[in-house]
Amino acid sequence: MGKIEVNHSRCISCAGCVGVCPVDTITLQGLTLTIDQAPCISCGLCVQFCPVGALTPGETYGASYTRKVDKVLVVL
Amino acid sequence: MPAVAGTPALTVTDKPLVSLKPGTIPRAVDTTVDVLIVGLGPGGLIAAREFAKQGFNVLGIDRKQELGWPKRCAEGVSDEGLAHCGVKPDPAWAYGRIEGAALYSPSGKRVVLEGADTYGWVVERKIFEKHLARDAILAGAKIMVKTQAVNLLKDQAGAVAGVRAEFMGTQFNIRAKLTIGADGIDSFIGKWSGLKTLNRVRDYHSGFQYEMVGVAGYEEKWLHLYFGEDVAPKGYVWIFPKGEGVSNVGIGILAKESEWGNRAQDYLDRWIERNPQMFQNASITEINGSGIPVSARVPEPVGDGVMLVGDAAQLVNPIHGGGIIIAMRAAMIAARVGGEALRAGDVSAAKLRPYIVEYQTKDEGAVTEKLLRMRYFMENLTDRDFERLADILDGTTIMEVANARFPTFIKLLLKHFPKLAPLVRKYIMAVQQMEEAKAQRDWDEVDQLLANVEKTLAEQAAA
Ligand SMILES: Cc1cc2nc3c(=O)[nH]c(=O)nc-3n(C[C@H](O)[C@H](O)[C@H](O)COP(=O)(O)OP(=O)(O)OC[C@H]3O[C@@H](n4cnc5c(N)ncnc54)[C@H](O)[C@@H]3O)c2cc1C
Ligand code: SF4
Ligand code: SF4
Repeated sequence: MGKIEVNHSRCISCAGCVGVCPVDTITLQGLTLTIDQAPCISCGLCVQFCPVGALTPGETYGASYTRKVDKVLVVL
Repeated sequence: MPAVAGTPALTVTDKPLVSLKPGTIPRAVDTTVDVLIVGLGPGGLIAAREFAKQGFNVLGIDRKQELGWPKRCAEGVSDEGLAHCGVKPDPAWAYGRIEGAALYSPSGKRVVLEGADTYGWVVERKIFEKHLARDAILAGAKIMVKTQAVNLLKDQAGAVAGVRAEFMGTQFNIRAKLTIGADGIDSFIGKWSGLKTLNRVRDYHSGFQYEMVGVAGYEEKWLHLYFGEDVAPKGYVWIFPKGEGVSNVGIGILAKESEWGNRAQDYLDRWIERNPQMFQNASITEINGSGIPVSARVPEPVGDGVMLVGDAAQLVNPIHGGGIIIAMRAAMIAARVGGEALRAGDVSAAKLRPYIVEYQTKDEGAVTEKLLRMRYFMENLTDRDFERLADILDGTTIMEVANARFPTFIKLLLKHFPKLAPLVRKYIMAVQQMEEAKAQRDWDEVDQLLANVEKTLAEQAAA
């Protein structure tokens, strides 16, 4: 389990999340979204941005997880 | 899996490189060109055409296997913009003829904008971009699809010297005298070059859209824009008609407002459900989305050997989020300035900077910078304010605002809601300094009015 999970059946390959990641650890290769988990700083910005809710915090999501999106943890 | 993300190490190409010769199809072999264009959306394709026209050896690459798809766009373009960029509307892609726009307040009050300024088309981007590619290739450019930039090449001095690319599993180097980053909101060319292109959630819209067939009950010659906190917080819902009941039905909300259960898709779904009269016979034929940068621009879109155009440089209209024409116009300037730099044999950042100066002073940048202030102002308005604005504003005044001419708008505001004076002072008045002297008389009047209103408000507060 990583810090951020991608639900590939929801993802529409829009790359919007790539543009907000402060550590540039998300990439779209062709139409496939990949997240290199190691550099992720658990800022939650990508989760907050995603228009369709394809990203969710995973098991190892950091303690710095304080954004509005922490509602996600409750819903899951 | 190839390493893609992150800051790449300084890479110096040492292999002998073959030049991309006329009469050869570009392939995944080490290649050297004058100009490399990464990203073949509207910005990249116009840049390719314009550099090729000047006789440069141009190669454009895109990671997509099919240009123009999936679109991240509602496909609205203006007549004036197309003409400026030398693109003639073709029935093959110019689908919905637009002659106006209708804006709706939260309660449904409608204000209609008309006049030549509003004329344009809703296009079919996958065909539009194929046509732009055709024009670029016929002008002499070469392109490759399914080819992704995975790393940056730099020369000994640290200047950008091309990219390492991957085509269907084969990596190769493309060395270039000048690299154009036209790689959209997810631009890595900018980041790898050390330019600050990160999108901040307060200057970034989360966009989502359905292309639908069978939409009914709306005027097909207008763009329709719906405002309201429940509709789209700090953004709007749109219907962009493509003719015969086909429409792009989409939404942009400020990314800062997005949260679980209240995402762009959630808002749009709820709005569609609330409007069965339009959608009961409709089906969805496409799902699109993406980020829309509404910051007006990145602080610095050029570096040694590299220029950014379009979404990569956040060159988008901060009010309505339109970026197709702006990307193309910026690409025209970039090609002119970049061409001069190449001919002079100096592609340093200093030599390339006139590109952004021209954009800022003589092109769209002059307007978008002011509209950014207006965006901040509008984000502070409540639904009630929008209702009352719908009562006092007519299409002509709104068109003036859209063209970044604010004095009439401010005078109306101060007359009808003096309480907004502090917001006017805080967000819009800075625009005054950006105005040319000829408009100064209007602003003097606004200044005087604003001072009077503030005085009255202060007196009321004291009493
Ligand atoms: C929902 C939505 C609706 C919109 N509606 C409108 C509208 O109605 N009118 C309007 O004018 N604008 C609209 N916009 C904005 C508009 O779509 C963009 O501003 C415009 O597409 C920018 O063009 P571009 O050439 O800069 O980038 P793009 O069109 O995004 O093209 C970038 C290209 O770069 C490629 N790329 C990225 N990274 C790499 C890499 N590493 N290697 C190779 N290729 C790469 C991508 O595959 C892509 O093809 C909308 C945007 C959204 C999200
Ligand atoms: S923002 Fe969401 S839908 Fe878009 S690419 Fe990222 S995960 Fe996929
Ligand atoms: S949580 Fe932050 S650092 Fe991690 S992938 Fe998302 S945007 Fe990047």
